Amino acid sequence: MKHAFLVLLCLSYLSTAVAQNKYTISGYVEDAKTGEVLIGANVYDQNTLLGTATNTYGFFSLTLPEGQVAFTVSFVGYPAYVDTFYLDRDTQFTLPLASSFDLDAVEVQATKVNRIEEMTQMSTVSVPIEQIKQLPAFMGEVDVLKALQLLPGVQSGNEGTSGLFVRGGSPDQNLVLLDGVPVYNVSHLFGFFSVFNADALNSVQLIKGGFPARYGGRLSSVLEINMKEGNNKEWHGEGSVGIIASKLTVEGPLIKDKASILVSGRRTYIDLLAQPIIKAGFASDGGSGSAGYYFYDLNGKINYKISDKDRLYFSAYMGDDRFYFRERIRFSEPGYESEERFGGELTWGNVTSVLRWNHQFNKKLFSNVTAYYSRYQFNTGVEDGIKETENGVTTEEFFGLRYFSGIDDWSGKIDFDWVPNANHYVRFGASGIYHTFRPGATQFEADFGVGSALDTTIAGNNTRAGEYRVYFEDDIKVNERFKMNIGVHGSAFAVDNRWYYDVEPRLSMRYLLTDNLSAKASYARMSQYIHLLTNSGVGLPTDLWVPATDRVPPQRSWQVAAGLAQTLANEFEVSLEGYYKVMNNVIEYRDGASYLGNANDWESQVASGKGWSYGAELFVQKKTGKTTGWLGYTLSWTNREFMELNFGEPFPYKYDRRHDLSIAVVHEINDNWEVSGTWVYGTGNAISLPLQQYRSTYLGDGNDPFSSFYSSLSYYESRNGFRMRAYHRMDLGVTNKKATKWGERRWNLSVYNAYSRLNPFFIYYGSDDFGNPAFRQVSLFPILPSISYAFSF
Amino acid sequence: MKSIYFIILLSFATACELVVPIDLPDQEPKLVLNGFLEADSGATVFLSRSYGMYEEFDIDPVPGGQVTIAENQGSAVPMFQDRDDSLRFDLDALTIQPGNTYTVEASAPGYETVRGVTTVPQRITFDTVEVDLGARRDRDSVLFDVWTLHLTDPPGEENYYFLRVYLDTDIENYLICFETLDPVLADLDVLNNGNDVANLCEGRFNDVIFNGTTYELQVFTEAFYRQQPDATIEFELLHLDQAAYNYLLSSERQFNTEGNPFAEPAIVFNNIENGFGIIGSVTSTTYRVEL
Repeated sequence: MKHAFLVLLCLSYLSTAVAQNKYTISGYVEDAKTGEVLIGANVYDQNTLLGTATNTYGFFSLTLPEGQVAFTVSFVGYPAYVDTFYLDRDTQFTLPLASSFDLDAVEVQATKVNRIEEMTQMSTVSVPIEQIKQLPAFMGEVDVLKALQLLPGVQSGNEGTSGLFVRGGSPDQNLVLLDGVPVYNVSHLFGFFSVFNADALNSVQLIKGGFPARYGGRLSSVLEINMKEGNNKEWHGEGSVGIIASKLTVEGPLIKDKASILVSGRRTYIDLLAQPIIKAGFASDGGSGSAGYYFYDLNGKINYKISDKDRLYFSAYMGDDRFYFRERIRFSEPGYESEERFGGELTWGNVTSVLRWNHQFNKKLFSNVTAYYSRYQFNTGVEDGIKETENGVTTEEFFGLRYFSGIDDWSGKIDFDWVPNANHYVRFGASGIYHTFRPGATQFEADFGVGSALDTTIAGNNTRAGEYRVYFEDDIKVNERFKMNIGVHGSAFAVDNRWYYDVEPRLSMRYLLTDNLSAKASYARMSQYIHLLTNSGVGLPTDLWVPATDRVPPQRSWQVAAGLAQTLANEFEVSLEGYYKVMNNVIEYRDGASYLGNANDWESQVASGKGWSYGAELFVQKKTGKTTGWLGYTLSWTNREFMELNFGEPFPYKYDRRHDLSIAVVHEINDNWEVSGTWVYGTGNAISLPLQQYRSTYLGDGNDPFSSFYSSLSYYESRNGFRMRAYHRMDLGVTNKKATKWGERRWNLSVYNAYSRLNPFFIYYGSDDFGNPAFRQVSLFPILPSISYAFSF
Repeated sequence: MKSIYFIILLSFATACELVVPIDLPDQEPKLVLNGFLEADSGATVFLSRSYGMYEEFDIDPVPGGQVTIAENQGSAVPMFQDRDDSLRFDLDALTIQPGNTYTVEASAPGYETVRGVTTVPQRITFDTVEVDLGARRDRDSVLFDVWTLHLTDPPGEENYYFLRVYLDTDIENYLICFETLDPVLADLDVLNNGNDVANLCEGRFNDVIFNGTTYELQVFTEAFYRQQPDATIEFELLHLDQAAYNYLLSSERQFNTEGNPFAEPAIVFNNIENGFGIIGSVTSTTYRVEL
C-alpha cells in the first residue's frame, strides 16, 4: 500500500510534464513604493484557475500549460495586477504592486484563488499589521500579541498580560518565530507588553492546528512574525510618542533597488521622568541615588540582492527589561569618614540574530539557508560596599550576590521550496539546534578586608543539548475540488547521553463543496523537547527553560480538527472549526511548590501528566473596505490529569474557558478620522478555593506548657474547582490623521476598559469591610485612557 | 529574588479590590482529630471541629466529644479529656510501643464518627557520631565543628526522619540550629535562594537515596556552643511514620504558599476517615556527646 502511494505520487509529479508543454512563471512580488516583499500574495491564472502564493521571501513559482494566460497577482490592500499574454516560454520577473493607498479610489477586492475556502491549510489566521496598529492602544502602545488574543482558540491568561494560551496549551507550547528565530521570552513588564514593536513588522501569522511539516518543536501553535525588510527605493521613517514609551523606525536604501536597511527602536521613559522625584527622595534621607525601571527593543535588518537569484538578509533583535537602584550614603565626623554604596538590578531580555541566504537554483527550486543565534537571559544581583577611614586608616568591605539563568541557541537550517508543477508545492529541509540551558547559578563576591576575598559560583552547571529536525511536505492538488497537504516531520533530541526522537505525521485536506464553501480536516502530531518552569501564568522573568529528562520526558501531542470555510459576499471570510487535542507529558508544579530559585531541584518540584482540550471556534473576518475587523467565538473544554495532583482525578486547566467571545472593529470615517473598538468576554479563570478550615498540629503539640502554637489549615476539595467572575472589557480608540508637508501625523486617543469593569486578577481569602471572613478579588486596571502621537515621513 | 514579589506588589498599589460573593457548596462541619503518638509515652490527641470559610475560625471544644484508642486488635479504651485544655484527650495508662498499631476513634453528637490509624515506627539510633572540631570556617570567618552522624537504615521499607540538635548546659537544654551541605538534609530551595549553605533548626529527610544502607549525615554547629561550661550536644533522631511525615511536609507547604497568588495551594495530607487531621506516630532516640 505504501509503495503504491509512492508510485502514484511520483506519477503525479511526472504526469503533467508528458501531457503537454508547460512553462513556469517565477519571481518575486513586492510593494512598488518600498520594495518590501509581499508575503502570501496570490499569484494565479484566471483562465485555468491554477495558482499559488508567495512564500516568506516573496518568491513564487507557477507552472502553467502553454497558451493564453490571464496572469493575476493580488494582495490585501493592493488592487489586483492582471496581465494577459501568451505563455510559450519560462518567464521570470519581479512584480511591483502599487498599494491602494497610493492610488485614487481603487476598490480592493478579495480574489478568487487562495481565499479561505481554497487554502488547504486550516486553523491559520493572519492579521494585517496595519489592522493591528489601528486597534485601540493600551497605555499608548499597540501590541501584536494582545491583538492575537482576540482570535478564537486563543485565550489571554491573566488580565493585561500578553501570554497566548492556544487551544488549551500553555505559553511555552507556542513556537514564536521572529524572522525564523525562536524567541523565548516574549514579554516586557511581566507580560503587560510584548517584545514586538509593530512598526518594525511586516506580517504576523498564527497557526493553531493542522501544522505543516515544516514546523516543529512546540505543541500548540506557531506564531510566525516577519520583520520589514526596509525600503529599497527611498528613505522613510515613522515613530510615535506615548505616555510610557516612544519609538522610531527608519528605513531606506543602502544601494537603491539592491540593498536596504531598517532600524527600529522603542524605549519606555517613566524612569527618566520620575528621576528628579526619586533623587529628591534619596536626598531627603541624607544620601544620593537613583532607581527606576525601563524596557527597550532594538530591531535591525539589512537585505542585499546579490543577483536575481540570490538575496542575503541579516536581521537582529535585542530587548531588555531592567529594574535598578543605587544609593550612596556619606557620613563624616572628626577623625572618621565613611561611604556606603548599595545597589541592585534585575535585568532580563532576548537577543536574536539571523543570517539568511535565499538562492533560486532554477525556476522551480528555491532554497533558504539560515544560521541564527537566540538567547534569553535573566540576571539579578545586589551589592553592598563600605569604605571607612578612621584616624587615617582606610578599610574597605564589599559583598555582592548575583543570580543568573537563561538559554542560548545556535542553529543552522536549510529549507527548499520545489514546485515541480501546478499540482504540487513541495517543501523539505533540515535543521540542527545546539541548546545551552543555564538553569540558574548564584555567584558570590565578598571582600571583608581581612585578606581573604571570596569569589565563588554555585549551582551553575549548564546543560547542553542537540535538537535535530528533518521534514518533507507536499501541497497536492488532487483535482479541482480536492487538495491536501501531506508531510512528515522527524525530530531528535540528545541530552546527557540520552536520545529522544519522534516521527510526526501531518495531514491537511480541503474539499470544495461548492464554489465558495469547503470542508477541511487535519491531523498533526507534535513533539516538544523543552519545558518551561513557571507557575505564575504572568510571564515572570524567572520562568526557566529546561530540557526533557528521564524523569520529565518530552511533551507530545496530537490534534485533529475539522471544519467549514466560506467567503461570504466576497468580503467576509467565515470559518467554523472543531478540534480535539491531547497533550502528553505536560508539567505542572506539585501542590505547594513555587519556583523561586530552586532550579537544580526542578525535577522533584514538578509533576508530569496529561492534558486534553476540545471545542469549536467560529471566526468571521473582514479585511477589506472602510470597515474591517473580526468576530471570534470559542466554546472549549481544557483539562489536565496528573497522578500526583488532585488525587489523580482530572481537573480543569487554569485557563479553561467555556465561552470566549471577541469582537474587533476598525472603521474609517473619512480620510482624517478613524475609530476602533474591541469587546471581549470570557468565562472566569479556574481557581482552587478552600471549603473548610481546621486546627493544625505539630510534633510536640501539647508537650510544651508554654506553647499555644496552632494555626488553621485549609481544606481544598479539588484543584481549580471554582471560577472567578467572568471577564469582559471594552476598549475604544479614535485616530485623527492629517497629511503634512513632511508626511503624516496621527493623534490617537484610546480608552482601555472603557466601562471600568473590575475584572479579576486573583482572589484571596480575607475579610470584608466589617471584619467578617470573605473572599476578596484584586483587579488591576480600571478605565485607562491614553494618548499617543504618531508620525511618518 | 524576593524583589520580584516586591515589584508585583508595587503594581498592585494601583490595583482595585472588592469583596466577591462566592457560592461555596454546603459543607457539614467535621470532627478534626490530631495527634502524634510518641513511643514510650502515654497517648495524647486533640479533638476539635472544622469551620466553614464564612465562619469566624476558632478553637472550641466539641460538646460531648469522646475519644477512644485501641492497641493492635485489642478493645477500644476511652481517653480522658484534659481539665485545662478541653481539646486534649490523654491516656497515661497506655504506653505507646514501637511496632504496634493504634486506632484512634472520636465521636460527638451531630458529627460523623472519625477514625485514624497508625503503626509506630521502630526505634533507630545513630550508630556512631564523629566530630572534627573547628574544621570549617564560613565566609564571615565563624568557626564550626563538623559532625558526621552514621545512620543504618532498615532495608525493605520507606523510612522518614527528623533530626534535631540540642545544647545541654548547666543552665538549660535548648534546641540549636545547624548548617549543612548534605543533599539529604539541605533543602535545595534554601541553597539556591542565595545561601552557600543550608541553615536549619530541624532537618527532615527520608531514605530514598540510601534505603537499607548506612549513610553518613554531615552537619555543622558553631564552635561557640562547646565553649560553654559542661556543654553536651544531643542529636535527636525522630523516626516518623509516613503519614506523619506527609502531614508535616504538606502543612508546611500550605503555610509557605498562603497568600501567594502565583503558587498553587498545597493540599494537606489527611488520614482521618470521615474527618480532618492526622493520627501519626514517632519514635525518638538521642545520641549525647559530651565536650
